[in-house]
Amino acid sequence: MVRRRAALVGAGHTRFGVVPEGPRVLLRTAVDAAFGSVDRGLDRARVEEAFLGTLGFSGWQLGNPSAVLAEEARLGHAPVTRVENACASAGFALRAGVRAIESGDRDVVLVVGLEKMSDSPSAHRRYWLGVSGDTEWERLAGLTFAGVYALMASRHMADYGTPAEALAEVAVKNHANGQLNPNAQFHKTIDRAQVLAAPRVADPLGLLDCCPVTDGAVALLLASEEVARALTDTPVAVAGAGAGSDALALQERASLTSLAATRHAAEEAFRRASFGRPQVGFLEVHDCFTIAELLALEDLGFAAPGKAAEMTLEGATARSGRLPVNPDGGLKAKGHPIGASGASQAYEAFVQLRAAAGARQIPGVERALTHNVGGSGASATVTLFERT
Amino acid sequence: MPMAIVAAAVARPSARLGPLAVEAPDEDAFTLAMAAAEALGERARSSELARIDLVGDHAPEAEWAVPEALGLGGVAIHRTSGGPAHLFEAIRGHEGADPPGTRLLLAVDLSRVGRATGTNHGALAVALALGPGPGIRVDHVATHARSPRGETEGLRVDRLGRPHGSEPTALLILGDDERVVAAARTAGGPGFATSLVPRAPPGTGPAPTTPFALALRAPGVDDLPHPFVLAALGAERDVHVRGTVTGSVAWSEATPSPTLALSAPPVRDDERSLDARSEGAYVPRPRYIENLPSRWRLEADWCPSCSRLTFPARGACAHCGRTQELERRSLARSVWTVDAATIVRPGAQPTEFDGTVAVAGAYGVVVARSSEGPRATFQLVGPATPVPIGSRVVPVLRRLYPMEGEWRYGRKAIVVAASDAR
Ligand SMILES: [Zn+2]
Repeated sequence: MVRRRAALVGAGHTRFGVVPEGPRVLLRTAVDAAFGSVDRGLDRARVEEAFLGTLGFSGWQLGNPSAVLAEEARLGHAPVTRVENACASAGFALRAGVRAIESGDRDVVLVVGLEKMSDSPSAHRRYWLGVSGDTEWERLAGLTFAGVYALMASRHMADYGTPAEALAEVAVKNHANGQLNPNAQFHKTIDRAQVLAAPRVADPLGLLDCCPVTDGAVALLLASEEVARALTDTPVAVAGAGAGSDALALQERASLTSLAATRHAAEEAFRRASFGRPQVGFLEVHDCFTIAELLALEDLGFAAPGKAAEMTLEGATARSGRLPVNPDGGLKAKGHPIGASGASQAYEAFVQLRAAAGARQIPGVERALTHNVGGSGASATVTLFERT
Repeated sequence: MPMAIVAAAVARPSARLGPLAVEAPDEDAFTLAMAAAEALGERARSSELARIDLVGDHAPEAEWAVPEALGLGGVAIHRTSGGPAHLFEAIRGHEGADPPGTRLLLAVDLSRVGRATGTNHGALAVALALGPGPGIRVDHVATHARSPRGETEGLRVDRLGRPHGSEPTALLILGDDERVVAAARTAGGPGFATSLVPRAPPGTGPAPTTPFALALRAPGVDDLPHPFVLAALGAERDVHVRGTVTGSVAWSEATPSPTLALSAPPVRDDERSLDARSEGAYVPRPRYIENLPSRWRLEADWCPSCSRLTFPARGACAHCGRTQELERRSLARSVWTVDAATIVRPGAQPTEFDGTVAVAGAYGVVVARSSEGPRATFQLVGPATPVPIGSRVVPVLRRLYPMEGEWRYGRKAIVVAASDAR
């Protein structure tokens, strides 16, 4: 039996960066853009349900933000559920929307990711950035995520001889990509020397190894494939959605150089899809820190353990390489509004697979993988898309 | 039967202010006392301990925190203020009134620097195991109003530090900085003469009760004549002690700590707010208290089904889920190996550690593996320097941060052997 599939029929993306707009305006802007992008139009009344991915950064409307989305998206009385899995909130919100359609329960679903991070003064930001880590042990040892990823980087470098230049190259490449993305936070290229010379944040990671503080929202409109074909000639199907979990704290995990949640999510996504890794045209991976992109390439199965550095230094992951990674600039250059990033990755899959990515378009690309990680790897989603 | 000091350990603080060893920002009476107690080894955790004497600058909370950290819930606690008289009275004990069994005495002096107390001294903690002996026994303690300088109770006191007769052998010594007096027997003549105590090693800084401990291992202490007498000259009162030496004292020292150079005296708790900013990620006090067995004593759950340990202990095996008949075991403190390491720079610290960064600039953090298997995450004590993977660390009890009017304590780690593997 052919599984009922969900497909993207519309997507809207605010500019990412430190912007004056508040959460309500960001939500409204992204949702309006998503409806505006549906080729043959979509009446809002047809949205049966919505999912909102957000951490609630800065504490604005920490509880019940779903109601705000219902208001700003003018969804009437359709149910809205807030999904929170830290930086993977939107990835899991997307998965919830996909499953609502795959199950046959819904035909049209709205998925939104939102984060407004720049409202908080810097000290507040630091504690908010730490709320999703292991509070009782990692945080009490003095770690935020930069420190946790730095620990993984230290071990990866020791075990595999991963050079600092490979981490730097991730940042260089993603900044080059971000320059072509009008929604990206940074539009400047950097070179390896700048990354290596930047002030250290948590050794071996420096300032340019870390994603920035970002505001932004992204809205995705999903429909069953049958409904989708009535709305557009070029829907982008969700070929397989996978997710995984792991221990909250690094100290509890089997490996310090691999995210088991990512591995589990990738296995599940490919098991559901009708294609394998060689057919994937590009990746959107969770590069909150440069080391995270290398871990992702290995855990997603596109590089052998310890080999992502080589692959990156060879240029294979560049936009013109054999497997482009983060053509939109990634979290590193595009920005990382925590609860929105997973939806932003799906937005990139939508525009690239419809050949609508403008200057950063990867020619002839047909299938994409998006990878969203919560915390330091406590949760992860992997979603596979294909043009139909 | 009177108790004798049978074993002693000293713990020095890890910061330095000029010539004085003073508490680092993450050290206080509790952490120093625990460092000394842990240096004493099994004697400080013995189930035969009948009583713990807390002498000196202990906070009231020490009455529950010390037995909790030692895993000796329910043991009798006796807390007295500092000073020579209290110390020696505590050592002497109360014959007939003390419960049978051995005793643990934890004496702590925090630093007093630049304050109008008439004294300037560093900090140090001493742990004494008291038992039937052999060792050093205190037989009689008497206090008197301040004696005139010079002759007192048959002791000639030379406060300028020039020994009478030939080089003396220090027996017991006590006092604060300039008033430390040793009762010693001259090699050339009968009776006792007095002298100032040999200065503590550079950088350690004397403290009121600590030269006494240092003297326990003074040259010649093993073949002491006995009985001995001792005079401690206080600012207002003098203490005279008579005792007997019946054997040598087992001696140990806490793991040497890195030295942090301070430019100002340690801030006292009554001069600051004990609240870190942490409105977001927050460990409520009951959860902090709940985890103390793992946080302070490194307790893990051992599962008889898997023969594996789960750390932190949580009442269930992390491998099979078993919740019955789990055995609590403390992980060894001695051998932890660094699996991953970083240095957290200003701006990357959780807000609770803003104070730490303000003083130290940066700090190291490691994930380390115990010899029994489980891993833990530790902030490193002392200056932030790169720590190669494979290095050895020892967990020590330290202040983490202040919250809701009190300090939160947990294990940090000291690098004892840097790996040169990489
Ligand atoms: Zn088990």
